[in-house]
Amino acid sequence: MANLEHRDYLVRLASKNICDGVIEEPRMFFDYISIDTTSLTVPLMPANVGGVSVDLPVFAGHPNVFRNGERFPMRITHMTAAIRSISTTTDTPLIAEDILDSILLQITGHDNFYMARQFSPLPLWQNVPVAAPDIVTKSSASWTFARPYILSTRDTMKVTLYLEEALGADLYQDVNVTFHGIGMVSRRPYVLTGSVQFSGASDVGPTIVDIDRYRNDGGEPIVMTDMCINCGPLQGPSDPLYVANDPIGDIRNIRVQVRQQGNGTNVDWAAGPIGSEALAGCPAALCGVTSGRVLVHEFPGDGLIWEPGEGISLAVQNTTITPSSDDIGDVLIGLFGYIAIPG
Amino acid sequence: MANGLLYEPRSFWSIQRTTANAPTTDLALGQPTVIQFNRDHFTNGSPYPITLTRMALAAPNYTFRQFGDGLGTGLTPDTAINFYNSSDILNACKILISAPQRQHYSRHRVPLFSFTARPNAEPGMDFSPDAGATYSSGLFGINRLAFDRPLIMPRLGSIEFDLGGFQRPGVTVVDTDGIANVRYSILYEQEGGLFSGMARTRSNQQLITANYNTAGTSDGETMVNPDAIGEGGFYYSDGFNPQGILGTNNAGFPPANRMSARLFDQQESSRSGDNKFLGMSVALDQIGYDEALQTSVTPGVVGAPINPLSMRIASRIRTINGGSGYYWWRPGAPLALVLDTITPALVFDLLEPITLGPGDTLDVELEVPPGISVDLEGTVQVTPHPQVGISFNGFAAIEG
Repeated sequence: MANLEHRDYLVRLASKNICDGVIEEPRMFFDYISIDTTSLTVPLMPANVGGVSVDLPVFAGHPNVFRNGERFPMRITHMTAAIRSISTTTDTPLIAEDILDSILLQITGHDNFYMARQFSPLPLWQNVPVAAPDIVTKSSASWTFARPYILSTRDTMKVTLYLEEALGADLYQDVNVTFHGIGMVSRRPYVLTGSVQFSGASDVGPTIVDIDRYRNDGGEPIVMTDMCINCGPLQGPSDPLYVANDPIGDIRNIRVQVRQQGNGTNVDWAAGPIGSEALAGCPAALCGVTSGRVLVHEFPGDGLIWEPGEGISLAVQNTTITPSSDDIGDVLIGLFGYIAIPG
Repeated sequence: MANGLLYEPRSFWSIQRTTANAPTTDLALGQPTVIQFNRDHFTNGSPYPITLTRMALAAPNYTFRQFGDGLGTGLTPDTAINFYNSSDILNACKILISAPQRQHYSRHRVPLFSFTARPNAEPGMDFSPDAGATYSSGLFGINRLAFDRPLIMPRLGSIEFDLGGFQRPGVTVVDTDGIANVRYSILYEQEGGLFSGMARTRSNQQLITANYNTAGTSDGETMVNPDAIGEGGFYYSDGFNPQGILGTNNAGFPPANRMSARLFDQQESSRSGDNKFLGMSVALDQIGYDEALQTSVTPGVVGAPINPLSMRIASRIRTINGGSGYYWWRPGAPLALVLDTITPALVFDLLEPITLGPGDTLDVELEVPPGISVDLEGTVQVTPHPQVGISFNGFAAIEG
């Protein structure tokens, strides 16, 4: 559907009839929910695990994270989910990624349940295949916006990057963020890309990509359609084995915040948790709405339409009965869509 | 609904296993083997026309996806049976599809991977924090079918879905995570509600399996080869059927592996009017299975990518109290072949749909390579026994 909408948009663009009086700008919401089953501070709920009835803890997200806190309506089109696997200098995540299979999810909005009253395993939520080949999927996340936004002349993007985990001493890593678009008048393609380099054992950001890399210096507005984040491989002169063994970066180690400067709302695109640990920047893996290493659910129909103040809340269960060190961590959930502002 | 037709998903499927011609030391003289799939498996035996829009291919029932550890280290097979002892055998086969007396889909047999694959896989799983288990079967364990046309069911209509068991290939499950068994979850997507969509589900049920060792030919803890290649290690050498899957236990579809009409009806029970279903998904949580397999399989390669169990588990489904009441496919189809929107199988969108009227059929031929020599000195000869599954998927148009 997104492609059709994009095509329709381009048809209207070609006929110079795009002025519907609405500015649209991408938005991403994200939260992390602990699945530490050793905790006793969470409510229990009966569940059926492998044919055995057990009481499992329910881990609820903060009710104010997935909520429209702005003054204009939003449309949420996709949900993504992943395990917060933290990469270390050895490129070995701390928890098993496939633990996702054992996590159940329930969405509540206006006291209605989605998809069902029962908690449903996260894999069942995936209704969009998004996997590129492993070598791409592991290091990249791509998002084709449900509705493009306009980068006006002299506008630019402020892209802030963070690392989940610092690299080792003498190691460095390049992270790239690229935006794709089409000239509103010329219809020529634009590819605006910038990168930063993290290095050493203490550098976790925030690091802002040079805003000149995204500046629209041309004579026409650009219809921006895609965003792609890529994490380069670990490199380091003192230990070239990092490159030789695995010349693929790990997108899960990156977090990103985006803001359009100039026209538009001038508001950060990503809104995250406001609870115990406020994460600055959306985990980049969650941004793989179109292509990435993440579970993607496309909401049916028009998706979630949020008036100002509206939202949903989430709860998850970890059905791993006997948790091991592999099974304790965070589930990352992201919602992606756009805000519509009367021009 | 304006045309008065109901639409239900349909699939024709078949599996063939064959023995290649004997290997020869002179590869140039090796002759491929050509066999024909059972025509009855592709015959429309229902009174309704069936339109096929997609084709799926898979090498089902192998334990591993590929020989080796997946890291490209170029391991030499320890024994002859380890060569082609995985589902990558699909690379070596060719196929010819024909509608009798009407049209050949191709004039010659073409390699299976020559069809343009639709991107429908889930992300690969290329690490694990556990030593020695660098691969598992996949990240999500999901199979999904988005219906070609919405399935309209009356208020009291139900869907009954069964999963078969499978033979655990000699795994003595020692599972530190406490997930000793494979678990399955089923979900039907339905239109309506505040969120424009909702679901009926059965989650986290234990999948009843049959332990390979109970079938009587294994020597206790020491497994015989679980794969199609192994000598005497594969009971159901011809075809893939629920009886064979469960070995000595002929209960092909155990009741515990069913999402019954009763469970189906209990959800959204207060809803009025027709129900419009858009798709269905099955998730198989095989984390414990993967971990156990990685540490216990003798003839395998530690770290070798494991096949998703959707390549080993049979299925059947039908509507009850509404719809046609026919099974959507011949009972016993591997999940990967019939739930093909997200699947580990290779899926190809037919360039033009094929409509089979009542009694119509398709011809499908399979060509497997001759035996070859595999070790460095050329002294070990292998006679592969490829097992290839194919399905044609689409929908039936039923007069309402």
